Amino acid sequence: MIPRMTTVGTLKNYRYDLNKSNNIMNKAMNTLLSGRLFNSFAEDPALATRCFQIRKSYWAANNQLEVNDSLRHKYDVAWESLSNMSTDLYALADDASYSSVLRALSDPTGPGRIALGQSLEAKAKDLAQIMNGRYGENYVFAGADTLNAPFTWGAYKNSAYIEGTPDPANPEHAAAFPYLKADGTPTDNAAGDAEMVLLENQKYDEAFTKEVDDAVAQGQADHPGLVDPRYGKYLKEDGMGTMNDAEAKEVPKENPAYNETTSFKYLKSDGTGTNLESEAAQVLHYRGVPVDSNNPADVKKMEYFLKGESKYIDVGLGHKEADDGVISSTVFDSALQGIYYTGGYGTKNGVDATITHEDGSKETMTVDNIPQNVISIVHEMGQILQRCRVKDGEWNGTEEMEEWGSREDQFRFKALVDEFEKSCGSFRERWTEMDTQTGFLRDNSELLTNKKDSLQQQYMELEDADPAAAISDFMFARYCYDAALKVGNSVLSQSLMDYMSF
Amino acid sequence: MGIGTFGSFTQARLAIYAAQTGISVTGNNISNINTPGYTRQRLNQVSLYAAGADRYYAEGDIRTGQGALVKSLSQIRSPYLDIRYRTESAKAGYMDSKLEVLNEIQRILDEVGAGDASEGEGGFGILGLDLEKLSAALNNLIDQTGHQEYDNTVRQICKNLIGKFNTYANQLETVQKNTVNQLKENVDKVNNYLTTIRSLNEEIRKSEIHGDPALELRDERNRQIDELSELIDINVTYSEEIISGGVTVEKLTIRLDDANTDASVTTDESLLVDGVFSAQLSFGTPMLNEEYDPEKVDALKQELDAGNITQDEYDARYAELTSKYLKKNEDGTTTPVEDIRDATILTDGDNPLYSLMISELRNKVGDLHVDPQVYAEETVEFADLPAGLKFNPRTNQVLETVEDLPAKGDKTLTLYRRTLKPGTTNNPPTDADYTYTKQVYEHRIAKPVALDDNDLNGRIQALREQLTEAGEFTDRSIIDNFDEKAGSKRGIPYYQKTLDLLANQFAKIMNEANQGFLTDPAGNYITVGKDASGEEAGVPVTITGTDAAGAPALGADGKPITHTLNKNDTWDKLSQEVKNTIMAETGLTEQVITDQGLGSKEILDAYLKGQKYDANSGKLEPENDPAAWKENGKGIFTGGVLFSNDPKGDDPSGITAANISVSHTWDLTHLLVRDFTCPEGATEPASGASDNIRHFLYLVGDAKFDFVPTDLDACPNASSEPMFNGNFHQMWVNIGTVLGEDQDYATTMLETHYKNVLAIDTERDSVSSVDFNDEAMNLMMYAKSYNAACRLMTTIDSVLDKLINNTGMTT
Repeated sequence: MIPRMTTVGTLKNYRYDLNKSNNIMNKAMNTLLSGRLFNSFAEDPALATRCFQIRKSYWAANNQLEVNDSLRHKYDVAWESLSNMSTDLYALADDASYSSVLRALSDPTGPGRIALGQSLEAKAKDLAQIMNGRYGENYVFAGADTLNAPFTWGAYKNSAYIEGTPDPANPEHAAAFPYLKADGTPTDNAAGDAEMVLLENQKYDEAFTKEVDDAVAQGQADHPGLVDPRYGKYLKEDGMGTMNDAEAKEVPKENPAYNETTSFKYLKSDGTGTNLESEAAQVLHYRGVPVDSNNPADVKKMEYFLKGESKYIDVGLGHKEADDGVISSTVFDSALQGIYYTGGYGTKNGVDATITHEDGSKETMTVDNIPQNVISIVHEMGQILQRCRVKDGEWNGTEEMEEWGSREDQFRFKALVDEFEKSCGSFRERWTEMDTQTGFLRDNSELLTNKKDSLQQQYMELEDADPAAAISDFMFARYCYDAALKVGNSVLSQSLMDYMSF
Repeated sequence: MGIGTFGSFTQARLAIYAAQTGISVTGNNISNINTPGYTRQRLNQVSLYAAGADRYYAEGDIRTGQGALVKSLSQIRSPYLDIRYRTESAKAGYMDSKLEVLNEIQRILDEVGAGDASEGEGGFGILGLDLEKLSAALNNLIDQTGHQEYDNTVRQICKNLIGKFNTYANQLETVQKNTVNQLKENVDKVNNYLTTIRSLNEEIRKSEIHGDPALELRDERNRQIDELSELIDINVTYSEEIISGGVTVEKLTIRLDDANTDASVTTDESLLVDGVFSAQLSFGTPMLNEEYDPEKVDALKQELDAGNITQDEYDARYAELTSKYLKKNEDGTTTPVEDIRDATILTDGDNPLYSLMISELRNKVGDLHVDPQVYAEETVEFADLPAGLKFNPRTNQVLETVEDLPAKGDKTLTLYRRTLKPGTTNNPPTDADYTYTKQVYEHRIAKPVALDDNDLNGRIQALREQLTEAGEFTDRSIIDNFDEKAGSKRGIPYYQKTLDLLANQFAKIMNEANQGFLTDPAGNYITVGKDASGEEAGVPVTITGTDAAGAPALGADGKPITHTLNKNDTWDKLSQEVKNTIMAETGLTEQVITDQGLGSKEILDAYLKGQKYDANSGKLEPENDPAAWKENGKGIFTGGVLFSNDPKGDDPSGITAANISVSHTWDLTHLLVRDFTCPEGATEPASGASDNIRHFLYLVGDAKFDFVPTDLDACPNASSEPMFNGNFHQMWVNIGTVLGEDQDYATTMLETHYKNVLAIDTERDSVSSVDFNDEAMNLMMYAKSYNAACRLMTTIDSVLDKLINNTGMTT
């Protein structure tokens, strides 16, 4: 049956269609005015979700770019600092007076050493100051301790210091006691508790003694060798050597671990102890740890600074954590350890220092405790030079001590010069490393910028309405609405009633 | 019968009358074209034909009709379309109300296109963007660790973020309150409709008895029913009600329309209106007896028979097993009751599901409705009739027995009827001359009905669902006892709880990340000690093992057994001697650890915090006191609670979106832990160490978590399966996505149902509504008829004039 379309039914349908047409026009207008293709999740849940994800990535990339750029600037400052340091080090190497000292290493009359020493000490302080450079409010080369100056000059703390009264039963206090008992435990009672042993001649020369004994055996009872310090394994009461146990002087057994400075907190520059900080030698510290210390506790701290400490920053490498912490390859370590760039920490023992005399002859001495850090090296070089005799610049101790061991300053200086050369080389390598890191940050900045732009492009493509399409959609919707209005007018106007003539 | 000479006048008169009435009906139709619910009326005419034999037979006499008789007025309606319309109307009403609430939620939680465009943040959202801003602030803090202005920025952004949580939660609360009001208004509307329909039924009934079809009243009733059908799903039926011998009137009955898909539920077909009786809806639910289980009665009987229980015990237990409801006594105890009318009805706060009850049906004066239903009918032999049965000789029936049914007032009636067999000649008839019928009736007195969760449809059900459905947060008992599909239905509580879960997880994870003990680079927990030079330094926490008696334990080498506590240590891998020491220090025992389900972290944390197990409270004390842990702990406790449930305190329990706050301590101090790892020998992390800030950044921006409904304190019996896995931002976006999907679905369905309603309504209109063309046709037709009838009258007059006055006359 053909449906009977009634006036009421037609009007209801018309009302619905007109409302729908109006809605469509309204929606098209909203799209046009907001410039967005959708304005709620409901309009397109999947697309809205995707757009939020892209916007999140965009925002993250933006943050990472900001931090990356901040890091870049920090690295620029760091690079500049190392550049200044390099300039200083090269200036030092090229310094005329320094060269003259080097040339005159074997010449005890080299002039200007004290002045150069002062200059070197000041240079060391300059270098430390350069390494204490800041970017903003943060110290650049302080590792993770960015609020505190990394390099400081402080009192030389005595690592052997024992607080309070030493306890002989405590193995850690053994160094406080000069003697050993028969059971091996330490004591400071020489007369009663200590084990008595024969006094050994420290200058005993076995071959020489045999030669003298052979001569005496052949009748030379007054052989001059008998009073030579090299003669005899033991020493008698009068200080003369003897090979006869019975004649040997008995002394309390010495504690090889004994350190006479255990009661002092600090050490002076001559190695003796003091409890006054002002009297103590000034040594370079890195983050409160003496740079030239070989004390295991200090070494452990330095090792942590160099190998264990980090300051990871998310610069868009895929920041990720595993069960045991962050995956280091997904973040950037921004901790710059000044100690690393300045050559490290601790001292080296058994360094052979060779001096070549003007006649071409060479003299070698093995020296200990040569610092590894270039600032310490320069500092000690300066101190050695300042210890030279004022009147002629002669190395300290050369005149007073005739024995070769007394020329330690001269050989030590040579060892420091050699180490300085090496440190300069290693400094250049590490400076180059920083170049690489700075380059990475620069490239990363570009990458993040591209990523950010690309993400912005993506979400705009997904969200933003094409103005031309939006306008034409709106116009079309408006035409439809206008047409619907016109149709409405017709719907209401015509019926058979209008044509009835009676 | 042939028509008389002047009968033709009557014929013309009837024709004029019919045409005039037709014009009147047409005029009424035209007048009511805009009256809502008006059904076009039609004049029912019949041809008047007087039957019977003529007294005098006349050759050539032709029997003609005697004109048109206006018999009645009728409405043109299609019951089938009415049913379809009302079913579809309920669906459209359901979706419309659902969508209304979802749109309200959308205005709060949907951040698509939101953001401050003037700051270049247009489209980035609001709460979602705050999470990103927090990431940015944390990244900046990593770069600038130790500078308080950056720390303050993080705190301020957190305040902004939780401010959004608070605002959104409050707004959702407002939506909930508004929806409750809307639901109450709609229930009131239903009650008004039911009352009005009952009144209309009365009026129509009266009119019908007096012979008036009461078409306008029917229109009004249909309109009321149509509107009612938007609110609840109803089934409307019409039947004939016998008023007295031979007189019947139409009876309208409205029931719920079997909306519940659970076939075992019958309350979804409850009576709402039955003629002049109607019910009312009200909020409430009877107090249910959880012991109710009639299937156990047999077992109970066996217990009694076996002598295991006394008769009194049996009776008490029997009452418990067979009584579905409980009545709350004045002293607070409860008594099992079988009849819902005796049960205590829980309302308001005790009725969290906004359950509805249908009252007993009553008429205008308050009489209860009685529903007589034939339960069984059979033919019986006389011999099988009960002895002594005396039939009423006039009605030939007898009411034999009346038995009380379990419910008060209900009765079973057994009615015997006898009918005289055809061809009976005995007078008076004998017993054998009858056939006998036995009818058993259940005479049920109307009583309240507690509706099941899914018995309704339409707007009421949509609003109820929006108020109660919590999706994955639904309590397991509700799924088991009320609605097995509740776990997949989402209303305001779902969105509230999802927001709560997000806020709760955020606070929980941030709080956990900001509390702990300092370690050395090797991961050993440290405490404040002295280094070799006697200066204060961080030294590892070392535990000396003890035997079961508490004496120091020695190892195989004769030295004391010691252990340096490391963050990677687990309880099961520690030696028994070390465990002994830890248990002695904390007061824990293996039994307590097992009973309390304590994990490695909790046990070792207790040791480091210096906590002691309190057997009375069953807790490790002091429970939440960072100051005490710092003071008495064996490790160096650092950090504290960042987010609490109250800005005046540091209590992290029960955090929701509505109460999440920056903790009092964080508000006053800089509490963010920058790192837990200290350099060798140090007792605090390096000044710019930031690994924990980086960890925060990872947690806020990248880490993915399982969001489990049971993590909310308020939902201990909800699903323990993760409802979502992702980072905080994804979880937030997911809330919007789910809402968007729900809205999208509701919009589509509403449009579909609305179109259907419109299509059906158009079909109904094609049958029932007024059309100008039709009415114009009718006008013309009746006008012409009227003219023709008048012409007929003139013709007859002319003819009779000729016959009477001019016959035989010659001129």
